Amino acid sequence: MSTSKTNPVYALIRKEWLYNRGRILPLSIGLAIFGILTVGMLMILPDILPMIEGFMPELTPEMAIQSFMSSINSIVSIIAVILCADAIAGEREKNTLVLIRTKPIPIYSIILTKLFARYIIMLIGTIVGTLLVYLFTYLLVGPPEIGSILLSLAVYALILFVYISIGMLISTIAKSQISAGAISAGIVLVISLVTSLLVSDSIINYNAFQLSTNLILRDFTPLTIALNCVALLIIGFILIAITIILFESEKEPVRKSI
Amino acid sequence: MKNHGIDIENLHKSFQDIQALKGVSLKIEKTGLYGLIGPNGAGKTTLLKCVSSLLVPTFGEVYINGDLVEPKNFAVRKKIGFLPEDSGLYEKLTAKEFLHIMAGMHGIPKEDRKKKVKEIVEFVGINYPPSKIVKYLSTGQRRLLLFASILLHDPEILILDESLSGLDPINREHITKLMRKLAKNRIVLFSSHILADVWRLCETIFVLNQGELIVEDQPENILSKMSDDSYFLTVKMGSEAIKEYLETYPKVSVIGIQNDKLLFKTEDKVLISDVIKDIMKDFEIVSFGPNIPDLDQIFTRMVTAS
Repeated sequence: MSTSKTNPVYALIRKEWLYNRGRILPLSIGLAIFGILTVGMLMILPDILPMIEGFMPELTPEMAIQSFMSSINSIVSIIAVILCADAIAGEREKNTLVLIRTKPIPIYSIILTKLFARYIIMLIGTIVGTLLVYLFTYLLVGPPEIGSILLSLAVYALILFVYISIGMLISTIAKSQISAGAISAGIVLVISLVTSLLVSDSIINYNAFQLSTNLILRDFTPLTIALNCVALLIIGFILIAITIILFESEKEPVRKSI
Repeated sequence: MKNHGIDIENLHKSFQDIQALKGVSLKIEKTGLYGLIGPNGAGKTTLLKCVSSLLVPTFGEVYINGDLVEPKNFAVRKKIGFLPEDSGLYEKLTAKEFLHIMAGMHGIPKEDRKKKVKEIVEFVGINYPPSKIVKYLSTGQRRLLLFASILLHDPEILILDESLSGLDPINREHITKLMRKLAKNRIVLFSSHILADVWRLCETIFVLNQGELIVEDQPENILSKMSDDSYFLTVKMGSEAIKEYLETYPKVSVIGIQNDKLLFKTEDKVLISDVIKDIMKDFEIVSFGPNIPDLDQIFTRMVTAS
C-alpha cells in the first residue's frame, strides 16, 4: 500500500463537482433562452408597439448585447447567491457538515473549495449562455464587437466573484438555507438596483458593479477599468476573509437551531 | 512515551447560560468497549463532540493518545473515527462515490482507495449494490454506510454517538458484532439509550447526569451495588397467602408485592434456605430468586441518587 497521502481538499472538490455539475446545462440553456428572448424582444418591440418606435434608436448588435449583459448582471448574480445558500447553511441544515468537519481539512479550504466550485459553475454557464446569445445576435442583428464583449465578460467574472463571496458569507452566518438565499438575493437586488441608477458622468467611472454593462456602449480608460477590477477583487477577498473568520469562530460548528 | 487512549481532564462546556458539562474527568487506556449512558440532556453528545474536536471546551482538556484535542490539530482527527448521532449523508451520490469521497477526505491516496473501500465494505457487510443512490438507502443501510466511512482511515479510537438507536434488531445485532470485533484492537466509546446493549457489551460504563460523571464502573459492580439483597417469590396459592405467612415468620421482613411477586428480605443471608424449606412444606413454589433490579431501575436509582 502506498504511504503517500493525497490532499483531502481534492476529495472535497470532487464532491462539490459531483453535486453541482448538473446545474451547468440548465443554467447555460436558461441564460441563452433568456438572452435570445431579450434580443428578440428588442427586435419586435417597435413592431408591436408602434408609438415607441420614434423613441427607440435603431437596434445595433452592441445594444442587443448590452441589454443581455445588463440582465445577467442581476439575474446570474441572484442565481449565484442562491446557489451559495446550500454551501454552508444547506449542509448545516442537512447535518452533513459534520462529515467534513471531522476530516483533516482546514476551514479556509472548505470555504474556498465551495466558493470556487460555485464560481466555476456560474462562470461556465454565463460564458456558454453569452456565446449562444452572441451567435443569435450575429445571425439576426449583425456582428457585435467581440473585444468589448470579452472585456465585459472578464469584468463580470470579477463582479460574480464578489457576489459569490457575499453568498458564501451569508450562507455561513444564516440559520437556514432558505434564509441565506433570501437575504443574499435581497442584497444583490439592492446593489443591482442602486448601482444601475448611478449613471451620471461623475460617478459612472467608479460604478464597478455596472462596469460590465457600461463597457459595451461607453469607452473607459484602461486605468479606470483596472482600478475598478482591483476594487472588486479587494472587496471579494475581504468578504472571503470575514467568512473564514466567522466560520472558524463558530462555537457549535456542525449544527445550529433552525 | 505517549499516553495511550482517551484522557479527559476537568472538562467544562457551556452554551450561553447552559452548563452542558461540569468538570468531567475520565481516562480510558485499554482497548475495549466503553459505554456512556445518561438521561436526555445529560451531556453525552457534547462530551463526545468535545472528544472528537467538533466542539471546543470552555475549560479543561482532552488528549487522544497524548495529543491535545483542538480543532486545528488534524493529527487527532486522523486517529479518531466519529459516528455522529444524526449525521446526514450526501444524498445525490452513490454509496461507492460517498465512500471514495470520504476516503479522499481522509487523505487516502487515489490508487489505494478502491482496495480500501472494498475491504471496508466487506468488513462492514454492506450487501447492497455500490451504485445505489444514497437517497434510496434504508435507515440500516445508511447507518452501515456511515459506519464504513469512519473506518476507512483505520482510526485508533472510535467514538459512536447513539450508533444503535433507530435500528431493527437484526441491524442492531450486526453493528454490535462489528463493534465487538473493532474493540479487540482499539478503544470504542459509545453512547446509547438502549441500556441492555451498553450492559452486555461494555467493560466499563460511564454514567453522566446533568453534565457530571456520576458513575464509572464495571457493569457487574454496578449491579451488585444497586441490588439490595432481597428475594422474590411466587407460589401457586397466590401472593397474598404467602405474604400473610411470611409476615409472621421470624427474622423475615416483607417488602411488598410487585407484579404478583412477593418481595422479602431476611436478616441473615444464611437463613434463606431454612425459610424456603419451611415455605415448601405448605406452599407450592412457582418461582424464587434474588431480586435483581432491571436496568431501567438501576439507571433510575443511579440518576436519582446523584
